Amino acid sequence: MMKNRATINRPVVSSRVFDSSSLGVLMTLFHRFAEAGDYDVKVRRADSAGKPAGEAIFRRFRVRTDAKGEDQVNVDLAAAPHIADSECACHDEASYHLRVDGVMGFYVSRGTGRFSVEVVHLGEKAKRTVLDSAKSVPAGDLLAVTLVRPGTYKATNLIATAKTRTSSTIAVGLPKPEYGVRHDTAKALVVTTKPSGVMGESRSALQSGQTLVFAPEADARFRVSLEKDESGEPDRKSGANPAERRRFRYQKPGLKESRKS
Amino acid sequence: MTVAASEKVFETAFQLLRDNIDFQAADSTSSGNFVVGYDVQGHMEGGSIDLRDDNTVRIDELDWKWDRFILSLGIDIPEICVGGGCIPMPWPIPDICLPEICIFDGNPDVSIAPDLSALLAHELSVVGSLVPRFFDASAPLPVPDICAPLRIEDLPTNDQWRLHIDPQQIDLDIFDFSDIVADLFEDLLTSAISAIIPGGWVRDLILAIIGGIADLIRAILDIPDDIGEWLADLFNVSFGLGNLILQFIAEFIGACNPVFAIDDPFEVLAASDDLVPVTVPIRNLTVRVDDDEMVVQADIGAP
Repeated sequence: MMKNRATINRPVVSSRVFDSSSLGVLMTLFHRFAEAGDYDVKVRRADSAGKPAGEAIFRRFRVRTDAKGEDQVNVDLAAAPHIADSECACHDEASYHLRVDGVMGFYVSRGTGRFSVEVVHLGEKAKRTVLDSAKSVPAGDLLAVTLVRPGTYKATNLIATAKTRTSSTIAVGLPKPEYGVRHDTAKALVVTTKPSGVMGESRSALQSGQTLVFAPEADARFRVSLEKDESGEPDRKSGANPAERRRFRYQKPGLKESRKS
Repeated sequence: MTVAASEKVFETAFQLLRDNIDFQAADSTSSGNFVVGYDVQGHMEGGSIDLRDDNTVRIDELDWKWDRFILSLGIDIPEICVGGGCIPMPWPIPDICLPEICIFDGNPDVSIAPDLSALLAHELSVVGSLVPRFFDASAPLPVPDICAPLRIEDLPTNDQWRLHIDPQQIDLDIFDFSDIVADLFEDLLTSAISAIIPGGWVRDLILAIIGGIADLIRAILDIPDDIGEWLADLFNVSFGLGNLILQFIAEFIGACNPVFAIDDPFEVLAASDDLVPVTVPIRNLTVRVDDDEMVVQADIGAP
């Protein structure tokens, strides 16, 4: 008699495209809160078709920074309960307390949801957006992508001004099994990008489960996509965008015609 | 009064006792990432009786057989995660630490419960002396009455002299799990774990992270050497199932179920027509054995 209860966190093994504008499983955006004060953090979720996050706020909270807060807090966007804008307590108490220059890591532990994060510094005179991940990853922030599926990936800075070396090739291989030796996934590879968008590394290699960290010196939007799968064949499932993935669809007969008319 | 019973008669009486032995037990224990338990039922077969002139009875070659020997093991597979680690930052900025993303939602549990009854056997021997015990039907039963679940028959409503085999020594083979059992156990566990791991490259990755299923099993169960030894230690030491069986037998034949019983007063003439039965009281009952027979002596009649 056998019994098991195991549900695989499928996006961990099926994700092929990672775009900093829509954070998903295996991606973490680290934002540094460089100034003291209060911040309003809004999390938006992309719709089920993978289209960019809309205006609806999925979660909203306040971060306070001063000399006494924590160095780092990681927030799981998938685990957070949905809080309507009108319901949140973000205007009263701070949800998180960081020290000045402290870091908040926004990550997604499970599910197929895609998220974007907007951080607004609530200054005394004016509000100032310091992060809008749907648009870019600002200089000083970090984007970490853990690459699990073996194959060859292409990492690109989509808003680079330079004409060459704005992309990097990353080969992800499976670790060689060694009896009694556990594969360590904790080692990360940091790739800096120059203000012009030039990638610090044009070619690099990782083992499955290890993390690639982008450290931009100017606003950047990163996209990492699987180019060749583990067999070396061109990957046809990546698509240009999560929104373009093939889906089952029911179309009510005659609806298209009536709309045309 | 002197009554003698041959070795053959004694053997027949013992067989009645032996055939009524029905041992059942279940227990479980947990440690760290696993829960292990057993649910067993056993009985005795065979055995040769030897009455000895040192006033003891030796019963050899008793086979202890299992009708059911279900060994259940549930293990909690540790989280299998990717990522993690910290990004070193220039001093004095603290390192930035990455979250771990886990391949399974929650900790998967795997359990197996094979029935090993056909693969386990023990041999038992008993050396005991015959002791007479007087049962006073009017006396209250001890509390707790340990014999209540072990009695073959209800207690009599009259007084009795009861002859018990008082065990002086019981030997039972220790639990020795053969390679076949150990292999079966490991194969089942490996299959159960394999069943929850997807195929292809995901399997290769998970196996690399956990260091192989065999290694994982040994790590979870904290098995230094082989599974057979671990199982033997589990039953011989941790569960102490062998001692449980010995205690059961000692109580079953030594305290709870006599091999012979003689009513007191003893009926020498049954009731007939209008006549009441003729009974005589029995006093000072003793029993001894020699190489050939069991001899019971008692005073009858009024003291």
